[in-house]
Amino acid sequence: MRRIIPAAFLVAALSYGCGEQPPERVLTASKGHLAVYDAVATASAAPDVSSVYFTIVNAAAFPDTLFDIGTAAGAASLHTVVTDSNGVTRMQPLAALVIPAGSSVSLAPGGYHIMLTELRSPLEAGDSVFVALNLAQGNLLRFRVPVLTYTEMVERLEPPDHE
Amino acid sequence: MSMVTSPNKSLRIAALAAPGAVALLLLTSCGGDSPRPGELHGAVLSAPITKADFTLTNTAGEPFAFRAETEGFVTLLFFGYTSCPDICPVHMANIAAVLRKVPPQTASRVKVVMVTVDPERDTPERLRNWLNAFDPSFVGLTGSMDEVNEILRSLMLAPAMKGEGETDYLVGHTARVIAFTTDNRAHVTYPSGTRQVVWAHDLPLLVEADWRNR
Repeated sequence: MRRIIPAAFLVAALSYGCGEQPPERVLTASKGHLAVYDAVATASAAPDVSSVYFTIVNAAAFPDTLFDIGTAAGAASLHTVVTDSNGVTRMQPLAALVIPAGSSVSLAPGGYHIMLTELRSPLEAGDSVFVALNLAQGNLLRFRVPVLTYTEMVERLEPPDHE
Repeated sequence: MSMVTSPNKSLRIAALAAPGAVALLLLTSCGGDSPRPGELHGAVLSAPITKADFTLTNTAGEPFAFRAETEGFVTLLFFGYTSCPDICPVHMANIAAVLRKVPPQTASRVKVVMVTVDPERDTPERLRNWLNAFDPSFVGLTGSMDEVNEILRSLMLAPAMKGEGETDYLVGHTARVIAFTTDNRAHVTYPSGTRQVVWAHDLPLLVEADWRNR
């Protein structure tokens, strides 16, 4: 296990292109061949809805599959965003998300994300929520996710040379 | 970062500046002209969209005549809903953040209007509270689904589509923000994923643009 975690770090570093300054990644949780980085939940703009984003790295030589997400905050479901030929964009529920061998998948605005609904109470900036990820190869990752406002969250995504 | 300098200010500064700086000012000073093709970083339309003339209800419960109320402003029109966890709040958060960063003379000439595509769940109060999470000056409008889809059609955009489910449904809608300029037409739209750098680049150009010169 000690040897596997650095491998997950390496995959995270390699998934950035040449010349592109890799942003500082923050390890949220790791277990076995899996590591979760930069997990963030958004403060509820509508009282009952929120979202969770992170990057999950699979350092193993075999694929793994995220098939269940749990949180005590409310109901969690995995979504992607699709746009049809008429230009209508909608979220599409996903039953599972494959993390290919030696690769990573990012849940990020405009793409894969976890939608939180039926929130027991609105998520507020500064709070944190527990999230549990169930993976097909047998790992369960449980971690605490900090809550940021949408504005704080999008600011993190901006290139550092913006100003 | 791109700055649009007013012609008067340009002249004053140019008189004092070295020739190199004059050349720089000539490159960046474009007030009063229409942006050249390729100058805007948004998705420039091959044919402009005429600003729709509709009236819906604002979050104070009052009628809001879109064309009259937004006359003379750069108006960013978005169709979305508050139970949307990703595309809609991310657009709103990015626009709100940029409006706080650009010079006030740009920000004060921009209006942001969101029309809900989920009138069943989006009460004026819910819409108001949601918009306040981004910017209390953002205008929220509600109308029936038929009214909203008629507006979308008049803008040559696909109608919104409610998904399955009684209360826990998703809504499909255009994810583009339509940017109307002071000529009451939209020449450019901004898709989902538009970064703040793009808004910060384009908004001053849109505010200064005079499309009559095109």
